[in-house]
Amino acid sequence: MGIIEEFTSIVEKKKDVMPFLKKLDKGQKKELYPALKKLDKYYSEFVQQGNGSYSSRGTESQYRILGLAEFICFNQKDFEQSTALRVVNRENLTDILPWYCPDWFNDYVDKLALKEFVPFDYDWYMDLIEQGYLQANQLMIAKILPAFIFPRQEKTWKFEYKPENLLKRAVTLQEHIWYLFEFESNLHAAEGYKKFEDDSAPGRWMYTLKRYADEGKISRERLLKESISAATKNFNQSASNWFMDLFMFLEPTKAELLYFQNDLLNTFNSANSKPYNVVLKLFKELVTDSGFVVAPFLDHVSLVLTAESKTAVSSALMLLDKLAKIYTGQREQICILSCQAFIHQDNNLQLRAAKLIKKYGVPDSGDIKEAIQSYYDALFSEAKNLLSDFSAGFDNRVVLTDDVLADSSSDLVEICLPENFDEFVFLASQSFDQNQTYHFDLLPAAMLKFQNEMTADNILKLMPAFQRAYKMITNDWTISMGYLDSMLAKFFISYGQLLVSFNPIAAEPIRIMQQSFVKLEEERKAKWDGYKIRLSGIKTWDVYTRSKGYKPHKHILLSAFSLLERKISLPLLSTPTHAPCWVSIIVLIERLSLYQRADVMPDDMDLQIAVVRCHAGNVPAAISAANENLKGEYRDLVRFILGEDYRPQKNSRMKNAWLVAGNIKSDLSCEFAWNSLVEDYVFQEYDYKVRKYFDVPAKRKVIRINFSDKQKKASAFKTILSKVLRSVEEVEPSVYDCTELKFDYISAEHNDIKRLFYLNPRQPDILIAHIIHKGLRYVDFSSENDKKLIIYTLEALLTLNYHPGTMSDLLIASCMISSDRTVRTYAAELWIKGITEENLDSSTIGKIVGKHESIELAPLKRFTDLVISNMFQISQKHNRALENLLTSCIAEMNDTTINGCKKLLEIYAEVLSINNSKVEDDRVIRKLNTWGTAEALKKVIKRITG
Amino acid sequence: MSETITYQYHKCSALNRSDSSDELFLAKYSEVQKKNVPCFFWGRLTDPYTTARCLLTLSNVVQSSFNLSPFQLALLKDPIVTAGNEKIRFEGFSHCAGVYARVDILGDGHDGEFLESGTTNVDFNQPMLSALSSIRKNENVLLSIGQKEFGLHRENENVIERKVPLPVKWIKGLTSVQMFLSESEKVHSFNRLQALQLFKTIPTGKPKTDYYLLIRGGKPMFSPVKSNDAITVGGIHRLKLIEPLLAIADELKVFPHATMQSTTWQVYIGAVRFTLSLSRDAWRGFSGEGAALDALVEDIPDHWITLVDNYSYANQEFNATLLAVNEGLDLKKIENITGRLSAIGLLGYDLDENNFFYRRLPFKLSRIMSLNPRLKDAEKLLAEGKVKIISHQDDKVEGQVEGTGVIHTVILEGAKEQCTCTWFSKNQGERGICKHILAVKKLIVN
Repeated sequence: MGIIEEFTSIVEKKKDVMPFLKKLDKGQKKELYPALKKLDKYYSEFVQQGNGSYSSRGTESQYRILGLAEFICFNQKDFEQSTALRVVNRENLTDILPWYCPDWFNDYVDKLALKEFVPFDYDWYMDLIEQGYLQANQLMIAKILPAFIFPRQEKTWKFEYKPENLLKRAVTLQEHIWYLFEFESNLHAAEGYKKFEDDSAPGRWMYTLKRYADEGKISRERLLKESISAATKNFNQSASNWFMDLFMFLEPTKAELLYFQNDLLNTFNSANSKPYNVVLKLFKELVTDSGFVVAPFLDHVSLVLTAESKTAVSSALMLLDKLAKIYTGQREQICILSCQAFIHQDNNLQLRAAKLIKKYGVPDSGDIKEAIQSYYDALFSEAKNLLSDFSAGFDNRVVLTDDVLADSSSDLVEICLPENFDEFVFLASQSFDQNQTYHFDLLPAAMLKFQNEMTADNILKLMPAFQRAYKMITNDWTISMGYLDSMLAKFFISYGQLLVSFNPIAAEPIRIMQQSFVKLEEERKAKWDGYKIRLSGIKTWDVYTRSKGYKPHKHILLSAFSLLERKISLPLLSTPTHAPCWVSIIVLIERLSLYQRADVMPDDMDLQIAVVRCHAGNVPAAISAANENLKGEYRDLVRFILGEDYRPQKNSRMKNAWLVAGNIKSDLSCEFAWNSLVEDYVFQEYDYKVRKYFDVPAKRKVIRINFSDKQKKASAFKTILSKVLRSVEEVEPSVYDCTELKFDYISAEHNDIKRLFYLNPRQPDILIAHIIHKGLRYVDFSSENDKKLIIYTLEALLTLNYHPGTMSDLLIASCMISSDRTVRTYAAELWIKGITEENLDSSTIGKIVGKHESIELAPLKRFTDLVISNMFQISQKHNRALENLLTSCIAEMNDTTINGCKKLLEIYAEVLSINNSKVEDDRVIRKLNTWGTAEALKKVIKRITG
Repeated sequence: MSETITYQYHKCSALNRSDSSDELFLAKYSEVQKKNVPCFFWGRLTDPYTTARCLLTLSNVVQSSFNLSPFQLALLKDPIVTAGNEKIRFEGFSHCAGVYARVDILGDGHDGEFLESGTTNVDFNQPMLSALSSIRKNENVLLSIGQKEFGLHRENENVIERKVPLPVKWIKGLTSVQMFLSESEKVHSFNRLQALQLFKTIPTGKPKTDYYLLIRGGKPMFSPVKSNDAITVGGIHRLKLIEPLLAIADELKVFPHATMQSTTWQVYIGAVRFTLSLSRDAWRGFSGEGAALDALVEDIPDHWITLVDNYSYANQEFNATLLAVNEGLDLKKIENITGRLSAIGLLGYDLDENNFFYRRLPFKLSRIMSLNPRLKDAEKLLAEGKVKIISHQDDKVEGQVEGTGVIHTVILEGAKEQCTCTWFSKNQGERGICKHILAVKKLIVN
């Protein structure tokens, strides 16, 4: 029997492999090498088991046999790529290493140190070093040492606390222990999730280190120094904080603190706030000591004065105050340094710094004046008032200009249809990437345009696009893909099949490709019964929710497909001519005239969408073009869109188009009732003792849109429209009936949302109502996709010029208190845009925020932070609008104060001050009187009411 | 090719404190050192505090990673330093190669001798970094890059070795980043207050969306909302790396790339300048962008490299025309030589001076040349005969390249280069040209 057969039999029969391996010589190992690779692959393959489940072919013992053989035969690279890591343990290698140690073993183990999981414990690793198989690797030691004092009991699987393990080898405490301070390890979390058999208390590593320092086994001085140093390194936040905690756990004496002052100052460079906050607290005791290092502290204090943590800024100012009191010669420098706190848009911090400067600064000092002046624009009025002695002669006017309104028509960016076939080829290959939202519209339009150029050569050029479409349909869903992308891909491959039927010879490559993907799908199905065949055409396409929201897009693609089937060279009407979705009316007139001449009736949905996307531009020129090129109902409809008084005849063939045109013209928006409320609900909790679910009543805060009468909602527009256009008797399903967002759990809808908005860009409110209902019921997001849905919604709204209705207002106001900062910033941007363009009522936004906060739907701090960072001091116009917003908000809030009211009122006072306004709204005056009973608010309310 | 690189230092870098004056000794190592150069620079730092802060920030950049696991971070790569022409420049990348940082100590920032000019790795170890942060203002600190007293160390004696995985991304980044820099223009200049205010608007956490720098109510701010004239910054949290420098900064200048593929932030503190360049997004390194690929289409004659080496000294402004005139090269052929030379690691770029400067990366040229997978793929396509030119008229070229299961169409027309492959379709040339375009171009040129 040859080597390979013998080994194959050992694996098959799970026999003892060691005698076989021991006798292998170099040549035999080489011989076994390729067979071993094949066997490894064979046994690792996932196969369906008898019970229908999937698992790999090999058993644990077969893997062991293969792994040991690989350890003996493989080179490092192959061993790393194999699954043989599992054989690297004390039990297996103890028998092998004395007679064989691969020359790559040390390198291999060093590399393992970079991996998440290492198969070594400290004891075994050190044994291997002592036996000469390995060289000590500091990183590996730092990684495995933390678990060394927590051995696990084999029987109970519980852990023991054995600090004495560290005493087994002298080198451990002399040298290895310090690697824990040099390399990031899981020292801080070493005892987490472990159940201990003994009664040792948590914090075992800290206790161990302190104990050995107290016993003189490790240097206390070095321990203190290394703790501070580790806290300042770029370790993760938990690790860095743990080392700071360790430093405090060691209870440094005042003398020690003074000794380590310079090291402590280094914590000011830390990326986390805890280390320097702890140090600032420690310095409170030291600062008055004669040994305190004043100059280095002043060198470093800037770092904490501009830090994110307000506690740190406040502590730093307090220390500066104490220093200024003692060191009179340093007062000017301290005052100048304190100015850096003015960078914070926080009234209290600014006041604290201003008081310090007023107390110790000399108003005549040019340097202090200069420092104040550079921050002056950023100062709140209270701080400004306090520093009036220093600011004499400053230019007090804060120059805020109102944004110049951009000319919206000049902003329009033209979208070009491919001019030649090559351009079409490059469009087709990127259409499924969503590089632009309008590529969805351009692809069918271009296919119609070039349908007569489908020669064999040209089809060959399109093959990469066909391949992408097939792959998109048959591969797994990707993160950026929407249902519309799958719809478009299916449309494209359907067209491929059409080409095969039209011209089998030229389209042969498409047929071959279709066949290969059909085969691939069949193979998948054969492997797994549950596999659903994904390959199908556009006609049967539907989204799993059966949402009507996708019908308009499908309708347009089917309309294009129908033209392609009939080889009719007419364009789609709704293809955008300007980004992101607008259709120039001049182009629409041209397109309609082509239909008129061909005597082909346009598709109803295509026409409706073309009408809602219509951009009038130069009206007289458009009217003249319509008169010249169109006649009958086409001309009447276009002139109606252009503002003239026309109405549909009784036998109209374009009822829906008239309806949407009429609706847009009269600027009607869809209104839904809404409420933010605290509601009762019941959730189920599992009781492990009785193994049953129980109903638990609870309360939650939600935003509810009233969709109670769905039928009424669907017909709401029709009722309004019937009034506008009296002649209309019956209306077919329109683009409004197809506005819907339907899902239980969001899957890929967010990737489609922009394109859904661009179906009806002038009336986004209906879709917004659905979005709030589905995605913003709770202002805190439960998943990344929920958040993306809202962000993409806000992005789409920012690109549209429309008149916001109640639902838009509700969306903007609710997003202002969202849990996500990006969402809040977007909401602020929509507010800024709305105020600039004068089409947003700031009071309404304020009222909604106030109503939300009357039940404390979300922390008020989110809103106040947003106002300060993104909505304050934009322009004079915005400052006035902000005042209205805050006035309405406060008026709407509850009589009982909530957290954050003080900050809200401080901002209100500041806004009133810069606007030179006074509170005149009775509701606000009453509210302030009620709130005024709260001690914390008295001062600021007095400031507001004067 | 070995996957690791071993830094060999005679001794560790350290800040040696003494009563009269401190010495910041930086140990150096280069695998392409032409001769045994003991010391590049020895002299006094005029503003040691600022220099120390900047070097610490550089070390923070070098230690940071925006897409790797923390364990890989432990393997600190050493920055490189270029000394010469009255300037000392330290350069480094984050582990993910998405953040480039450089500290330039300009003429007024030092007072000493450039004993030799050149580029080398310098040892950045933790104790030295800790010591750096203890440097105060008005201290007297000497900087020494390499050991001045030659003879203290004999060859191969007491060599300190540090083995780290070969910083492939670094080397690729160092050969690409100047392409981005040279296509960047200054758009904003902020004083300290404005800079601090701007950085206060950086959102917390690690935002996945792009942010845009815009001026609102006279104040600079970051907003997630795109507007026409705003500067695009992806992976904005990376900017926080330079936040500690702002408190001592005189000025902050912002240089966006022409097509917003990167942004460069320069902090000016006296005679020291800190440059931070961010790649387009946190998950994209400068290394993988293929910016240098175009420059590598034509093969580079070896004697050019020798010429440049003979002609230039470290930090010297690189002037292609002057080189051509001095060395008698054909002016037509020298076109785009800067691109080609920086792609093989011979040039860096100075935004303020608006020119390339000579610095030869301290890595073997063979390593540098083997690091462009797209170029290798393109060469493979050519070798396998998978590239065909269908037509070549005036400035329009149509090519066909065999892909997996399909034939890709490549059209080059003027500056417009297009391909039907997935990479190109997705990125539209923003991340460098694809292997198909590269192969067609190579076929035409060579």
